[in-house]
Order: sequence, then C-alpha cells, then structure tokens
Amino acid sequence: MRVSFLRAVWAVARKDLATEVRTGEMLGGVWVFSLLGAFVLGLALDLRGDAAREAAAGVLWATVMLAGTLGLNRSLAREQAGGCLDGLRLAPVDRSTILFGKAVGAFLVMGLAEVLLAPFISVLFGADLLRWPLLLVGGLGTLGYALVGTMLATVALRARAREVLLPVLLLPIAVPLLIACVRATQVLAAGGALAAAGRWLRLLVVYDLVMLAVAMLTFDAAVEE
Amino acid sequence: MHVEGGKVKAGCTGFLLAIVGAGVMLAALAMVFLVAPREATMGDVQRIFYFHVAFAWVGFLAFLVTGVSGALYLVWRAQGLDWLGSSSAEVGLVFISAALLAGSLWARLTWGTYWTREPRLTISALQWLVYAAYLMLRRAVDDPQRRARLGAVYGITDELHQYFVPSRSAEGLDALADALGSFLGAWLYARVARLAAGAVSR
Repeated sequence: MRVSFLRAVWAVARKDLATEVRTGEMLGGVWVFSLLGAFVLGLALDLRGDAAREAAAGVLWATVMLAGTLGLNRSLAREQAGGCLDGLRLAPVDRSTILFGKAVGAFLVMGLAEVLLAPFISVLFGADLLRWPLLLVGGLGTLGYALVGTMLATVALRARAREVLLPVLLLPIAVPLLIACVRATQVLAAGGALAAAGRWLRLLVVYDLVMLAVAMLTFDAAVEE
Repeated sequence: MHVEGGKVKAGCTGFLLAIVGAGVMLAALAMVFLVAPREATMGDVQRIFYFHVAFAWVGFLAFLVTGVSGALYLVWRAQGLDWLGSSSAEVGLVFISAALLAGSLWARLTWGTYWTREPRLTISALQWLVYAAYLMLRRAVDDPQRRARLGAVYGITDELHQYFVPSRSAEGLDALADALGSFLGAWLYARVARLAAGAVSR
C-alpha cells in the first residue's frame, strides 16, 4: 500500500501527539522549565519598569529555547527506548517523513507551551506579549527551532551523554533564530506594525527555508544505521 | 618497499614544508615589527592586525573546509574526507581562539573594553562555540563511520547557518535568500517528482 507523503508525516506526528496526550512529558517539561527559568531570571536580573518590559521578549525566547532542548531530547529518546525508531526506519515511506512528523509534533507541543507561557511572562515583566501578530513570530520561530532541533536531536541520539550534547550542538545554530525572534517580538510587543518587524520576519522565513533544505538533504545520513 | 618509499617521501615533504613555513613566518614577523610603518592614530597597537586578521581568516576558512568535506563525505564516503574535515576543525579551533584573544586585546587598547557587542566579535565567539560543539560531538561517538557521518551532518548545518549573522548587509541576505530559494525550489521539485513517480521507499 502506498501512502502519500503528507499522510505519512501526519501519522508520525499523530503518534507523537498521542504519546504526549497520555504522558504530558514534553509539554509539562518544557512549560514548567521555561516558567521556572523566567522566574529565576526575573529574580536574578531584578529589573523594573521599562528595563523589565524590554527584557521580556529575550526572557521568553531564551527560556523557551533552553527548555526546548529538554523536550526534544525526550522526544527522540522515547523513540529509541521502545525500538520505535527501527520500526519507523523499516516503514516503506521516505525517511524524511520521520523528520517532518517529529518536527510537526515538537512544533505543536512547543507552540502550546509558548502560548501558555506568554501570559505569565507578561505579568512577571510587565510587558504585553498577548498580541495577535506575535503568533506569526512564534509560529515562524518555533517552526525553525523544531526543525533544527529534531534534526540535531537525531544526530545526538547515538552519542554518549546526549542530554549534554544536544544543547551544545543546537544553541549556537539557533542564535540567528533567537536574535530574530527576540527583535521581532520586541517590536510587536511595543505595539509596532508588522511592517516594522519586516526585516526580522524575513530573516525568520529565510532561516526556516534554509534549515528545511539542509534537514531534507542530510537527514538520511543522520538516521542511517 | 613501496610503503617505506612513501614514508620517506612524506617525511621529506613534511621537512621541506616545515623549513619553508619557518622561513616565511620569520620573514612575516620581520615585516610586521621592522618594516611596516607605525600607524598614525593607533600607534603600535595596530600591529595586532597583522596577526588578528590572519588568525580570523584561517579560523573561518577552516570550518568552510570542514563543511565542504563533510558534504563530499556524505556523497563519496571516502575516509580521507572525514580526516580532512576533522583536522581542519581542530586547526580552526586553535586559530579562532587566537583571533578572539588578539581581537579582544586590541579592543581593550582601542575601545577600552575587552568585550563589546560588536558583530565581528560576536560571530568569532559563535564560531568558537561551533568548533567546540563539533569536536564534542565527534568525541562522543565511538564508531568511526557513524562519527564521520554525524560530524558531516553537523558540519554542513553549521556552515550554512553562519550566513545568518545579523551583521551581514541586507543586500547580501537578499541575494542569499534568492539563491537558496531557487536551490530549494529546484530540489523540492526533483523530490516531489520522484515521490510522484512512485519511488517512495528505499
């Protein structure tokens, strides 16, 4: 039986989401850890007024990206623990469906964690992160992060001390993404128009496209036995 | 006999390279300290440039070699390409460290601070982290072929992400976006065509 590419991707994503609904491991981990991170940073930096408001975007993205490495590690470790990755590799579908399916799953979980985190950071730092245009920044940024993150979690999967390795591999590559997300969020949270954040949004789109291409070209080599 | 001959030849080449390298380095040092004139505004501090810029060039170029040899490795699977890529990363780490050190000394003497949010300093520091990550990944994988494969994947990913550093001009970014867009388009088309043709599994 031949399965279309998109249906295969969705099947992998649905499997991840079903596990997530039953365990809540990834969402709980990412959300609670980033909430904790934001709280700790708030105490450590001790910012007031305008300074706190300007720091909110940076705190949101930095904590989400740090917490994301935990979730991504979990997502791939789960595959390996149950021998599930071997099963996926044997499936008669293109290998990139594994990457995209898992990236879609990570994207949805991380996106939900961000939506749940935004009100708390808004309150803690006195900023207004609950604006519709921010969904665009969040979507583009999380998409790129989930893609690169899933890719590199696969790379780290067979290495020793992968829990330590994934953040070391992923965060330098995510720096351009981080900068673009933070700047765009700052502009939009301050009430700026979408056009004012255009430069950063364009960077996000290009980053996503480039990483999509790189991931598609190299993923086969990353999951090879 | 053949192997021994090769060894002798390699030994000779290495010795010659060392002699030539030492000579050229001494000449360069003499030029830097004795021949080059004293810069008008910065004074002798400017002589750091002769080291710093060269360190930085090698530091960035070495990772380009790692990225390209990684890509070629994934195509040809030749062990030599992996050796080239990993040695290049080790050389690059040394040079980017030297570039950071020299750059930061220069910044202290010129701007009055060791570190500032200057784009070139930032990308050099990022490059250092990328080298560290690449070498850490290699050390954490035991199987040589898997190490080569994963190293190559990471090398390629890194090399491409370097072009996003925000200090790059908007025109450069646009040109890059166009080039990558067309590349991606062509590649996606080929992929979709192949999927549509029914070559789904491998």
